Amino acid sequence: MVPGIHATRMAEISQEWTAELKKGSVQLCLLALLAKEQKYGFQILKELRDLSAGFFDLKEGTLYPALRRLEERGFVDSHWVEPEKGIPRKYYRITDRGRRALSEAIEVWNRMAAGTRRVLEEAR
Amino acid sequence: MISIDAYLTAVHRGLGGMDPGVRKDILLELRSHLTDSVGANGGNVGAAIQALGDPESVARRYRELYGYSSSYRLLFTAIAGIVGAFTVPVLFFGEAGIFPFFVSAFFLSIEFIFLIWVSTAAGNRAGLLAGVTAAVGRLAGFGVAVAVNRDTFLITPDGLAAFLLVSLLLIFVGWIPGKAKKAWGRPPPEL
Repeated sequence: MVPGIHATRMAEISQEWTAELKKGSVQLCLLALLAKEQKYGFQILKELRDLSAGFFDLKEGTLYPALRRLEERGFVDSHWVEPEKGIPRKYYRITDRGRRALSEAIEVWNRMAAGTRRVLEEAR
Repeated sequence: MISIDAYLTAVHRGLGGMDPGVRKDILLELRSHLTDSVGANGGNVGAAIQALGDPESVARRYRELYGYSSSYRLLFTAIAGIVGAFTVPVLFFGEAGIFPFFVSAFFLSIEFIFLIWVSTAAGNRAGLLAGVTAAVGRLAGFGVAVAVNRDTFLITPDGLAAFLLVSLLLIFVGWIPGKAKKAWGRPPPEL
């Protein structure tokens, strides 16, 4: 089963299609979540799940490689924070390059969403 | 029930060959995540580990991202070059004897298998570098064979063409499998 669609499992469309949609948009969501402040992995995972109403219920082991992929591309950077009390956590924050990528990706997303919506109107 | 330490040891094993600094950082991050996860789920270590995924799959995703460390890739290149030197076909060695030819055929088979593995496991660039080094090692071996058997060495045009063709093939065998894997592997779409 594709993570994230447990509650709303569709009978007719393939799970692969839904999975591809998620794969294509998860990096955009990760950058968007980091746009305002730096966050650590578990926090990102939880916010992604809550804000998407469970749609992006990522398999936890896929989150960190995805974040590191963004880091390899220079869209985010990371650093360890060791609090006086509690466990050390690795925080990710968006870079200037990441902000530009996010801005461009949002523009593409909006155009796609608007275009798709107009086409879908035909189905009504 | 598997403990966090046992789980991280299994992930560490799966990250073998990667840069030690990156491995350490990955394991620290996973430990931090598991501590958070266990804290959030009421202390259920098993559930936290299950949510993260089996250690082999977790390690594989990192490996796909980082690949082998530069020192390992250098090692692969050196092995390819050394084995390449032993793939030179020498039909006659000294007085007589066809045995070295079979030795070269054996090393050539080993070299092809090794290059395919390097190309698929470490990527087409590492494979290409190993393939080129294998061809260079083969040419160096050829030079040594000519120098040692200067008086008796006989090179025919057909033999030379086959030799060069196989040398060229080593480069392609180092490059193509990794390239094909990349093309067919359907990596996740990126921004």
